[in-house]
Amino acid sequence: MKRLGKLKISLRLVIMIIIILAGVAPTVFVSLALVGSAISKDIDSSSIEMQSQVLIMADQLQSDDYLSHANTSSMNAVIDQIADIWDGRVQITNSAGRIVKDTYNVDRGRYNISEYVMRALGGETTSEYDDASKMFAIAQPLYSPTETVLVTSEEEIESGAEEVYQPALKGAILVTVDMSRRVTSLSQLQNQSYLLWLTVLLMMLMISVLVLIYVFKPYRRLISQLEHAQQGNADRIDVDTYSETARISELVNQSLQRTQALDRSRREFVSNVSHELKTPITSVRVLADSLNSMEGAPVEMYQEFMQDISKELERESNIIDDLLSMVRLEEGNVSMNISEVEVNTWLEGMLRRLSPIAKTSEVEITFESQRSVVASFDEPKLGRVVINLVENAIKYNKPGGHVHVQLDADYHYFNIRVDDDGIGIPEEALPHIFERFYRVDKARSREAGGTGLGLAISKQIVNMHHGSISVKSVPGEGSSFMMIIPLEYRENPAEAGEEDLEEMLQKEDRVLEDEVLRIIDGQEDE
Amino acid sequence: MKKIIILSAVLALTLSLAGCRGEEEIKVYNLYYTNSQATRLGSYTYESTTDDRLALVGEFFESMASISEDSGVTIIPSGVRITDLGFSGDILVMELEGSLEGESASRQLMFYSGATRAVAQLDSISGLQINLNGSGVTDVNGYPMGIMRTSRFVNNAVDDPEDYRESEVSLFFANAAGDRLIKCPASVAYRSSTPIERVIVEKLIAGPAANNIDGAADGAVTPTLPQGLTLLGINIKDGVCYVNLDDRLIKEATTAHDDVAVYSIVNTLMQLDTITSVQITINGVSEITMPMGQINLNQPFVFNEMLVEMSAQDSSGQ
Repeated sequence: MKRLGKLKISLRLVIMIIIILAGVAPTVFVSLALVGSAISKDIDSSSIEMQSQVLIMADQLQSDDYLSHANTSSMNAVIDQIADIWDGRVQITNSAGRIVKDTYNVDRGRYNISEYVMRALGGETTSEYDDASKMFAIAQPLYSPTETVLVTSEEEIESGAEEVYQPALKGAILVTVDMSRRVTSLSQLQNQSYLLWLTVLLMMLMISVLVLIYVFKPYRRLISQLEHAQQGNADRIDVDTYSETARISELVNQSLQRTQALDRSRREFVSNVSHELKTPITSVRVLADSLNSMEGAPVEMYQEFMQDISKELERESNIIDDLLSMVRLEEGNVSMNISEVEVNTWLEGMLRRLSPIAKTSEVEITFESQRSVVASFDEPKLGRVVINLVENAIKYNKPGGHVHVQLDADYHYFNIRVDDDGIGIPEEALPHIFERFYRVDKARSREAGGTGLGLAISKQIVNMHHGSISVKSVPGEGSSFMMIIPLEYRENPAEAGEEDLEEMLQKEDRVLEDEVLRIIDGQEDE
Repeated sequence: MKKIIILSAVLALTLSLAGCRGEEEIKVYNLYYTNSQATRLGSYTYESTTDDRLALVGEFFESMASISEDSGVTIIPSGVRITDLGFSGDILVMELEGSLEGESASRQLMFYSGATRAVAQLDSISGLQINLNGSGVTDVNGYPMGIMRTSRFVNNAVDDPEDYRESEVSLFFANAAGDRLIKCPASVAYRSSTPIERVIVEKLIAGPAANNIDGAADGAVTPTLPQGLTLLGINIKDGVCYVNLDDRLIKEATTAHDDVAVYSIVNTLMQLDTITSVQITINGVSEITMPMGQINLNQPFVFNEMLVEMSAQDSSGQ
């Protein structure tokens, strides 16, 4: 479809016009060229023949010394014949321009003042085809076979030049032929061409109609299938007659699948969410119901049950909070609060806050840092990620286990690594752990107070910083999470590489400075 | 520039002499020049209000003598000058002094033809006589030119707009019934490069209406030949005019009377002095019997008086 303002032109019309033109244009062009060249070829060859004839005749006239006895010469019959054969006119003038012979027998005795004769009397031979009047004219001077004239002037002779003689000019011969009749009959060919063009036009019209009907069938099929798909009545498009339609079908199918997948994941999300939200509510319900059904329950029981209810409600609240964060993060409705952070102290602070939980789970947390790191990032958000990773490391661990946190950096990035020797993650689960609501062991997660959204949120936050997060794990031996974050937050990651040379050098200086300081102070972190 | 000066001088003179005698009519004339080799005659326009023919031709020659270099070369040869202009009846007599010796034939002819054409424009002048040093001029061979009229000079190589001929001829068309011929006078214009015999046969084919013949419109005079008929060739040899037509003459005959068709051609052509008889062929073949069976074309024809309808036109003279 092509738009032409408000009017939509069909591809079929365009192709029809092309086919018709492809047939008609060459025909027209060739026939015009052929007729045109036929005409000019004919004129050319006739001209050449006539010129040589006139040359021969002039020679004969000269040998005959025609102009000395024009009335009685036997050449007159020959001249008449030549004029007849060419269907033209021969005039012969004397040296004064007076016509002594005219095959039309009308202008004898008159003076021919045409340019051809004038020039011939001056010794010039001319032949010309005048396209406007369709007349062909040749004029030639006629010389005496015996008389000569002296050409060299008196002065030249006196200064010693040789005497040069030339034959005396006695007159001129003019031959004119009207080519218009010949041209007319040739251009009648043109009229027949018109009939040919019409025939070709009709033929091409028919061919184009047939072609369109047959060739365009698959496109019509494609359109109707697409309509079905759009209304939701079809899952797949399949028109593989042409490579183009096959490709279109393929792409449309991919698009359809993506939409279907999206639909599916949406439905899944909704069902997951409702399930997650309902679970704590159900527990609360159960607890409340059992309390209600019990008569004369002791206060301690009420207290215990209320604590349980409180916990469940907190869990529900956490789930809802996480959900909201998740959705907001995904929609991009969050602003980044970038601040410069001294990462070592920051990490140490967070780990300190987590030590009570660690102690309860009988897990030891250790922190190791290679260097002092200062970076700019959204502190609350990344903090959440760190807490999530460390909490997971504690949760999915056994009593007496260890959690080891490492910090390192290079010129562009800093990385935080969280290793644990806990229960690990099975190989088949590894690709999915960052997915929403994915839990390897549902029961364990619930007990540990998980919402199933932690890693998904963490991954989202890391992505927003244009960093990366990855995991390695051996079931039964432990897991290792690595997050890599750019030192300088840049909104457009494409510019991440274009650091100011000065800034880069400054950063290098800082790192070197720290190295030197460390060596000088002899500090070595445990 | 000089033209304008002459014009305004004449105008001023006339106005001052005549007082307020009303507007003078400006007439436009053609005057002539040539090229440096004197092989071509060119024309330019000249305006004047002068009425008196003597004064006017004086102006003509003054203008042509003083043509500017970038416009062309004057037709008046450098070896002569005009000393007097006068009239002998309606012949202009020009007196020259000087010499034409050494002038080429073409230069002389440019002079004679240009001067003749220029003066012959005036209705009151019918010819030009040029005298050099008291005696009449000759051509380069010594042949006396005598009184020169425009017909003396022909320019008939290619189409010269001033060289169209007009002739009064008689065309024989059919009567309303189609069984008799009517002699119709007609005026035909044609290029001098086309022979007259071809012209009149083609006019015959065109029909009476195309030739503005009286009576064509109301069917009193009808065509004798089919309109699409093509004259393939026409020659005159030893008085016999050979006319070669295409076969439409038979296939698309306009009249039931073959003899009327054939003799319309013959009678029309016989008016030319050079023709004593007419031989008709169709596509080169003469052994043909016309469809109505009345005529065989295998012999030449002469004027047929019996087929001609006597009418008032005829009896009142040719």
